[in-house]
Amino acid sequence: MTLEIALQSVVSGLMFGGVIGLVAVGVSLIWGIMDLINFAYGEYLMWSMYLTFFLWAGLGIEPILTVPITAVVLFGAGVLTYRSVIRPVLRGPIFAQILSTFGLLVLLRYTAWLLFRPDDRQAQSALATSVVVLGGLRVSGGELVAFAGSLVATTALFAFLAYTKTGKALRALAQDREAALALGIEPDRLYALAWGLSTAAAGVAGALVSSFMYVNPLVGDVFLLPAFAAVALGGFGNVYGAVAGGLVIGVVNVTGGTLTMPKVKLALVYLVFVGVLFMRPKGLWGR
Amino acid sequence: MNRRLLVALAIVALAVISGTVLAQPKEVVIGVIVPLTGPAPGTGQDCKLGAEFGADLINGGVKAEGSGLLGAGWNGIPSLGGAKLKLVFADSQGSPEVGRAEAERLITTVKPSGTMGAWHSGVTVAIAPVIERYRIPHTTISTATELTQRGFQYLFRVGVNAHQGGEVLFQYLDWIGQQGKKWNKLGQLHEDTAAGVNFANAVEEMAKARGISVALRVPYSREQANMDSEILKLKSAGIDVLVQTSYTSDGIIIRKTMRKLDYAPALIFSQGGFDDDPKFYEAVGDDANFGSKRQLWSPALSSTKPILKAVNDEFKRRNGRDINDNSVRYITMIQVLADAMNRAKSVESQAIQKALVATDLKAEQVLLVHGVKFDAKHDNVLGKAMVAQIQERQPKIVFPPEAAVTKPVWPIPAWSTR
Amino acid sequence: MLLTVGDVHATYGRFDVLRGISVGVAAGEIVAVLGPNGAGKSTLLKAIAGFLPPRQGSIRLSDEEIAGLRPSALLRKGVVYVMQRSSVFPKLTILENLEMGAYIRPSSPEVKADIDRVLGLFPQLAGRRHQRAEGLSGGERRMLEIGRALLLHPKVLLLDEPTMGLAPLVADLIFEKILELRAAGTTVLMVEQNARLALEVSDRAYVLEQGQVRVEGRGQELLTSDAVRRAYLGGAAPR
Repeated sequence: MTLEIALQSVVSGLMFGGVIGLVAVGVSLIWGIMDLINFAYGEYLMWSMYLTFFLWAGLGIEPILTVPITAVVLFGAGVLTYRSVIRPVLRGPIFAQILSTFGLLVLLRYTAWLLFRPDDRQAQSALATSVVVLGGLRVSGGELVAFAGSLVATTALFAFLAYTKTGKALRALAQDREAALALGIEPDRLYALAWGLSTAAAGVAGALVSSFMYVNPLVGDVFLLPAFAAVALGGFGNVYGAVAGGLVIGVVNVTGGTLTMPKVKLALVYLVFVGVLFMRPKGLWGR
Repeated sequence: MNRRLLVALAIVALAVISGTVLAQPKEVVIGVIVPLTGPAPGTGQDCKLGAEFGADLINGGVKAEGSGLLGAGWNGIPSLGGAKLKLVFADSQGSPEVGRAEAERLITTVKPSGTMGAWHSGVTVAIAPVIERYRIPHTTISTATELTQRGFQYLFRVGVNAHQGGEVLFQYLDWIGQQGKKWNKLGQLHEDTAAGVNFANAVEEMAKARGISVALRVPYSREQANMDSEILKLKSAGIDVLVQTSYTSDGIIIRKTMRKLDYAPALIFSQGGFDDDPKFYEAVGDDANFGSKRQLWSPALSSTKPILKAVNDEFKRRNGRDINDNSVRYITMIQVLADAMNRAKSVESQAIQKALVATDLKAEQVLLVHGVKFDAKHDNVLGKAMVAQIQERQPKIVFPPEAAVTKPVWPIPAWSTR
Repeated sequence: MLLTVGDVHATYGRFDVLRGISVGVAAGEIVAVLGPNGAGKSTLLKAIAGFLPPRQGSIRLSDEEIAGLRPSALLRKGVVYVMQRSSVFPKLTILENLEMGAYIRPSSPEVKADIDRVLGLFPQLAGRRHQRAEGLSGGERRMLEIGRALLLHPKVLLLDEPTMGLAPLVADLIFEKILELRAAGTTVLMVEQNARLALEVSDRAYVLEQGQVRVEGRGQELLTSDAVRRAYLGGAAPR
């Protein structure tokens, strides 16, 4: 194992981790604000990938350029989901909430299965196959754009949360729902917004990964499972931690796999996940 | 009036019922289980086209009289009064669970006289007990060793098994050595279902028997978005003869990652799969070139078997593509089943099974290069493979020399020069 | 009366907590609500603030019926509620907490000026405006909460035990601030555990027991009433 290989694996891991980080942020946002785990999150990502694929296949739009479209469409889908599925169960027992997002998973996944069949489909992109070499370290154009796009999307989300009045209200709502209510911060509209933002992140991520990953009805799991580990690592509901968690998970996945055996790389991710939960149940950067 | 109508209807109904009962079998149903959707739809499509072409050959729709091919000049199965083959397809989706359920459904609903499939070794392993239970004569091209180790009476392997497919690799490596070309380390990269594991095991055994050690074996699971660690592992270990078993989507990611990480071994050898699928070529373009694969068929074979050119031309006219390793094996499987039914003079399963055991088809009779004859375990003893290298996005036979149409490019050129 | 609560009944789960309660607060008054634990004091404020809509009865602001309105609607009418437990947003800065106080007001220079005015009112907070609220002491948190409430220019300020858990000196400081607010024209209805202090600053007081008004009167009168002293002031003479 040369240093060059090890460094390359870290760079590859960071590239992959950037995308995982964006997915983790989407999961974490809902978790942090509503105390709700969206098990169906990967399915929104999958639907976004189909949208990108069909925009590419039908209209010839370069996958990366579908980002604004998938972001807007998935934002709408998130708001719609909140209003039709989540809001009715929000006051119900936690069990009902878990079942509702699980039901969403089944619905979204098998609707895709019926409509698109289980075929793997891949949008082709010249960008994705181009290779960028910097100081002997190599990344593909598709990965680089996905990484940069993930960072831009998460930075935009962070800026929104940190500096806008609505963003601050979302954070206030997350910290103390009743106190927020006493100041006239109405949860309903903000929850809908949070769902929209969260699924819009899945929309962005879906378009970004489409240049190097095929889509099929099960593809959500490929990204969601590592993202859950990133969420735990970053501290449940901590969106900033989720990004860092994503990067760590990416490196554990690729560098860990390279140093040991690639077959165990997912196991390594879960080992870190369980290890962190064991030592710091609130997550590495938990509050 | 009403009464009369009723009587008339009853008579008509009776006639219809008795008619169906008494009628000679005008068609023989063959069930074909292939991955029409899922991770390998391109592959499944090739299999389907092959089976349909084979059935049309038997049914008299393909003109090949005087070629000596089995089925040429037939108009249905002769000993069954010209009964036509009717194919019913079932989609395995590349999944063992779906494949098993579909096989069961196919067998119980359309009552086929024979079945074939399911391309994916993992799926074939899953459906084998089902067809055995229903006693349906079944042909397959799946390579997993275990398929013929379990004493199935009704399963026959028309293609090569993992050992027969791997054998040619070592013959090729010996020959390459004699040409004065060098290589250092043999490594394996394979998906972790039956096809990948079986072939890797077979290669490992055969290597050991020749005193060659497998320097690195990297199994991987198919559903993942990033394969960098797999390729880095192979690159850092200095593997320059890489044996790869992949399906299409993972094969695409692997080839792209190889380019990205600048990993170009001297040889990439596969047992087919990803590099038979048109989608692979669509996705990676010229990066598909220089990979080598175990090959059972080549359009260029027309020079050694002239009739094949005419057949391939007809196939291409109909389907817009050359016969490839997948279509040729499905054409041949149809020939094998039709031959057995013809000799059995029956569609009764035990009779067909007996006839299959006695199959002895010469190289000239089938599209598959070397002929079909089964041993006690129902492996095809004539199953032999060649080595093709992808050049200009086409598999070109490079080994054995007597069948070769071109010289191999060895080693694979560095990515920076492509 | 600015605020009139008439024969209000309210239920928490299966428990009738308010059982026909009637309370009035005139403009500019400080009115205290006293009583033992479980008497329904906090519930009364929650019912007025829109957190627990009454089962029956009326709540009127001037001449307008406001029972059953949502908290955000009540805020717009000038009914502002500071809950019993600490309700600052710990991960937001002091400034951000104040901005959230003005959430229902459209952003404008006036809001900024109001925030500066509130920070002027609480100098302890002003110097630390960019620090997170989680670093504040209990008294400072109360000040932040009251300051936050002031940004809505309340007609009626509902305070639920503003001095709970605070050291006596800090409690005195909070009451000073409450008096200042009244001087500036704010009407206050507060629940207080510290009856003696509450009666000293309030104009009138109600003593609740089991969801009903037991005694009502002027602050000073109640302070010297034997019945009240026995029941709530531990029999000790006023200081």
